[in-house]
Amino acid sequence: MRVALQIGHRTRAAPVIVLDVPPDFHQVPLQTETETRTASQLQLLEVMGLSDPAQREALSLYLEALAVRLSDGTVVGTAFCAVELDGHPSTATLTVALHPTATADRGLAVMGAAEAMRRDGRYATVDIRELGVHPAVTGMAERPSVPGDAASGEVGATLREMSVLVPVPGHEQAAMLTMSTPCLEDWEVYETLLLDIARSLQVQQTHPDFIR
Amino acid sequence: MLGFDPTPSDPQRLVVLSDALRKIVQALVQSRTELSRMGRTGSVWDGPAGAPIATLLRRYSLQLSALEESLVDCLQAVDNWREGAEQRQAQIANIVAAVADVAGDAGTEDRRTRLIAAARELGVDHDRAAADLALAFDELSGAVEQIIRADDDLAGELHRALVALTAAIDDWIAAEAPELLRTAIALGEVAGLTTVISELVGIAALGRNPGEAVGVSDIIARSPGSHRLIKALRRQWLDVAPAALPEATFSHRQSGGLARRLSDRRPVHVEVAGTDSAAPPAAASGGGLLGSGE
Repeated sequence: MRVALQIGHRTRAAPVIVLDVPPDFHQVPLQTETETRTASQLQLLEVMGLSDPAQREALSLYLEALAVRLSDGTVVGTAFCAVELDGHPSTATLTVALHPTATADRGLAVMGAAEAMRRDGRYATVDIRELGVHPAVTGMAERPSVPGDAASGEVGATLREMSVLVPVPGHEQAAMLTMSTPCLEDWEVYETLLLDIARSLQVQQTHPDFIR
Repeated sequence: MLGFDPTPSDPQRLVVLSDALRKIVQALVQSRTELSRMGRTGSVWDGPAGAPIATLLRRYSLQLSALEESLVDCLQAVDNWREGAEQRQAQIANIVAAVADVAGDAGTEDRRTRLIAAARELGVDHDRAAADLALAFDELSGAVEQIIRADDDLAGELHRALVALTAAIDDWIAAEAPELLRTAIALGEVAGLTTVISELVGIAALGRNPGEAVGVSDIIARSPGSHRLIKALRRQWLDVAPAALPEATFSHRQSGGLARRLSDRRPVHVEVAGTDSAAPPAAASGGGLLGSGE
């Protein structure tokens, strides 16, 4: 699956960022047009093979709530996978943001972001890497849920996440991708996958389908 | 037996020296390779901020390359010396054995003299080879001196470039870090919220035992970050409502038409200030919509 993110204004001439994402990931529909979004949501429900009306309704409402939540801000896409790994069910979430960097100097953006992430202290490890032709920053964190994190006040699952910031060549923007999973035993699979997705980043001048 | 050693050399020590030189060459090759990667596409040094440092280090890399060549020549000379020395020492051992054979035999004086002369000739070859070895080390020394002469301010230039880079990074952080971290937090939150979908479709069991029957609303309510979603949605609608809803001006004074229509449907009375006084008072219903009117 190729995911395209629009840079700047939504016109056919505007360049887009393209990421190669495995087809196991299902994208949460975030289109701004209600009809298009609803159609995509229904399609997703079909793909998921849900037959229980309560489940379908709940997922539909939840998808819509997420779409509303993401209708502004820098997060431009979120997708989830529900797969079987080594005989057990496994799930992960891929979330993508486009973030202005105020510089076309990719090295400066990477070094600055790495230092900012280290100083912030939220990440257990922060590294600068070369992902193919892209300099990038990776930060890994484990977020144990705490009482109060959920509306019911209960303790939820621990989520491990890795964020990758990849400056977009030739633009004062960076793609920020986060892979998050409660399935800690499958972490290596998802970590490798995230780095591969980040490595696949390309800027295209054409106008393929895009998230939003 | 000869009365002198024409080929002095300790092969074992030469092996140690050769190994040490080989390791230095390998380390230099590795360092030079790493340095030459700087500034290529995909490197963090590929940009205006990092370029001065990459340029300096690439220049240093070229000098390391010259040093590497001298070291390789040196290593070759040591290996040649060791190989030659072993051959010459073997030849000397043969000569010594031959001299021992003729020892005490009065008729073999000429042969003994020729053998000793051959040993001396081998000694001359040995000294010549030693001079070649010394020359290789002299050239190595010269290469090191050249590096020192060529880049006497490398440290200073690197320092200035690093200070400039650090300042650029600090400026970038001051301007951009808060928003960047907000984006990172938002991504984490959205990821947590999206993970709930997997639980809704039965793949994950966040905070509960697999198979445990939990209602959909419970799942959403106990998911990490769910309260943030609820808060965010409330904030979202508060932002949207004033702009999206038509503004109430109450400019049409239509004798309480709206109030009457509402009162026909349910027992709620609406008082619009300045409208027909015939409308029933809001207080009678225990609530209602109060408009400011004109």
